[in-house]
Amino acid sequence: MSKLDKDNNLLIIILLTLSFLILAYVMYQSTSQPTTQNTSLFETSKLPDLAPNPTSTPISKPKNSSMSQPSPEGAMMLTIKTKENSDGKTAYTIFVKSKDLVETEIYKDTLNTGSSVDIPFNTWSPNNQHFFIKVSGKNKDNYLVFKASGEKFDEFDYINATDKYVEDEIPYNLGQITGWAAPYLLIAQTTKPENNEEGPSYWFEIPSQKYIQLYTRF
Amino acid sequence: MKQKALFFSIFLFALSVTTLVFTLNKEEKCANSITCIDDLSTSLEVDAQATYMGTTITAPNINLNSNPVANVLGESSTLDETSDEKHLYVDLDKQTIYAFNGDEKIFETLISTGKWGWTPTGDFKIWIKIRSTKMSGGSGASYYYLPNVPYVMFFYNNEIPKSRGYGLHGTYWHNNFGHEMSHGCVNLRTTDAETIYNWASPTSVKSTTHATTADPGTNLTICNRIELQEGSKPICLN
Repeated sequence: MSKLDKDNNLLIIILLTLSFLILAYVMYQSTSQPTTQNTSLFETSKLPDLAPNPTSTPISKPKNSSMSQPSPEGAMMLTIKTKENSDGKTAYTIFVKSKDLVETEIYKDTLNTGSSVDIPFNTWSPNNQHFFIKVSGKNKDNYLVFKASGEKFDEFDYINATDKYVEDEIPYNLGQITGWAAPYLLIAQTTKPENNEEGPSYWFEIPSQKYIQLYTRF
Repeated sequence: MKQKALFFSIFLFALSVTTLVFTLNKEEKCANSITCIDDLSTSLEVDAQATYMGTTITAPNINLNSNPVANVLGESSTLDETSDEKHLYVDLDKQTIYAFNGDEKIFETLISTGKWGWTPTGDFKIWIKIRSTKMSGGSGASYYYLPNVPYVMFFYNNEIPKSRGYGLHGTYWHNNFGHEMSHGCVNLRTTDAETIYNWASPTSVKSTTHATTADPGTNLTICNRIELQEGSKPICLN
């Protein structure tokens, strides 16, 4: 072997050794970083689907009772009072109370037998102009959106976001409406009809009353 | 053949050095990529407009002259500000924060932490409390500008330095607590952030309060999962 060959061999060995050491150091640095991740905006979250969504306890057999949920900054209070009628059905009335203590009746209705009404934790829109409630029936949950002022949506007392979901013919099952992404955007989670796995998230836009599919999972 | 081996070695070495340079120079990610921790003084804007998710939101006006008081929680509990054993725990799985006085849980509520694992886990300390500040970050469709973020409590540890700007704070731009929403900070309802702000150390005496040796910041533990045990401190399950 000539001297040049020996020198080349040595150089190759040195370069490979240094490369290995550098890459090992880089790998070590990467694995010892704090547990934060930068993943693509289009990947779904690596944590399990949480959605604890604790709410006021749904009243399965309400008699006379009430439940309340303040707005996030405490300026408004949403209250639902329930009362059992003589026919065994439960009537509920929605009130909104503002900081100046004026209580306004927003809506009243009677639940079907076996249904319950609930105020989600995230009921209030960030600007306090809207809120949503959940009416759970035997076959489906209806998410009803109201104006906090008590004004109607055209001639309707509320928007039934569940009915709007069906109208939009979305090819996933509606799971939960969890809260507000922004003042006029509700967040809806879906599941795949074939296997009940997580589907994409949607926004329900209040002004247009339309659902918008998202690339990311909220 | 020898030449190919030599070229390959040189190429691999160059690639390694490039990777090393990139790793060493990689900018540490701030919770808020634009404002980061640039300004630690109280920041207030009157009738400010915030930008979030492409929408414009009216930021709350904040009165710095309102005196901090311990809030009454629920029906019976009051946060005892005098306890020396205050500790906050965040459960990322349940998106819940707990406040403990020693072994006693005195408060819990839903939160929103960082999407895609952006909120770090570990043991931290609150190092500064700011009554109101500005947070901004992202770009394009994800750009956000949030003035008057209320009740901010920045935290740190040896791995997450103060400069990274991770904090607990009130939230006026979304209401989806119980689900990941943020860029790394721990979002709370503003009323809940106020409660914790007024309870946690250091004791708020001005609109900006630094932790000191005499008044160190409250400990904060962030875990992937937390196991609560009656009458004892929670267990962090990472």
